[in-house]
Amino acid sequence: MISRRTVLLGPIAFGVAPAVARAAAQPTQLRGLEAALALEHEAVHAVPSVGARLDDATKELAREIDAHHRVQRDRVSDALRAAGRTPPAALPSYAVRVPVVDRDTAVSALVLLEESLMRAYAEAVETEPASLRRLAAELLARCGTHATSLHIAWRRTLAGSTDAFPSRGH
Amino acid sequence: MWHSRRVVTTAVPALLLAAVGVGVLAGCTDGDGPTPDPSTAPSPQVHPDAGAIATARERELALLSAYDDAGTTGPGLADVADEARAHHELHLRAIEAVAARLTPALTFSPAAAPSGPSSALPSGPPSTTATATPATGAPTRTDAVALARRLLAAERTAADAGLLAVGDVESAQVRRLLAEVAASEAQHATALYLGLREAFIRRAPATPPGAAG
Repeated sequence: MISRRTVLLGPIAFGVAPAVARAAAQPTQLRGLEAALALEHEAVHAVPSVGARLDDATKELAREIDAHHRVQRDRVSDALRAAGRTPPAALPSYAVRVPVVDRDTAVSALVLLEESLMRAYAEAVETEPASLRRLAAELLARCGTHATSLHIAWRRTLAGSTDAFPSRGH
Repeated sequence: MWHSRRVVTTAVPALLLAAVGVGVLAGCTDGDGPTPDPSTAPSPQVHPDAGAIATARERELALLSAYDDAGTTGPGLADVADEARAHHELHLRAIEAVAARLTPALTFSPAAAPSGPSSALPSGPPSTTATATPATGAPTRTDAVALARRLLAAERTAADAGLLAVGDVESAQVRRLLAEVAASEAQHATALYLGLREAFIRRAPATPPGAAG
């Protein structure tokens, strides 16, 4: 079985978005959640950026995922504010992580983001208090389901659409 | 085609659970009996997350049993069922490894998989198996849909339980493992949902309602 990561990403290495690097300078306790928020901002920007390259079925899915990310962004932002932190703001613009030239590269750009988000939320699971780590765990699972849905919509197969440990990939 | 596999999964955290019990009991006195001398009383160093680990392990055993009981989900869903079952075995091993690291004094004793019907399978609508299954025993479309729906519900229930548990455990290692396992189970539920939609239902939303909480 070909792994989802292999199929979608091939040799592309993960990059660290500038917003993530900025969040990494924050205190350890909430760093994961702040990194996740920076990525949520990026995700909200990504769908409109790549949307033109998606076909109708994938575009519909991307719209649903985009709506989820807007909600997630607001929830994480509110949670950080409630914890006494200033949530990282969105950057004026974001570079798409892979050159998007067609439907496949557009989907892979979205999947890359979901995988980065999963890693950030997995780290944020170590956050205190319990309410914040529950939020992080919930959103880790949500991003996992996005990655699965994108895989199935694109590859039209269920095989390889799930991971034993989603933030680690296959 | 996915075939039923009754795999006897080894190890029940009997000692782990016993240790949890000892830990609970160690903090209790009846008020009338002699007070144990702290210098001679056993100190059962039970990890505070032992209960959560044992419960997570039970969830994985129940899910494995559910997939074994389901036998076949029919064409179209076999891939995800195979994959999910393999993941649950990995989850089980990871949970047991964490338990061994956190509570090294404990050993696991071999035991059979949970007996009886899968506790992970929620009771679904009345089964139509008796009238829908032909004499050959081959699963009908109705059977396959019902099985996949029950597996989906079991995965979703396990994911929800795991996500809740993340808030209650102390060890960062256990938190992360429980969160990863729950996320994986949410993915299985999504894949089963989309597989069902593709194979049998269609016109359902592209992402399952209420997925992962």
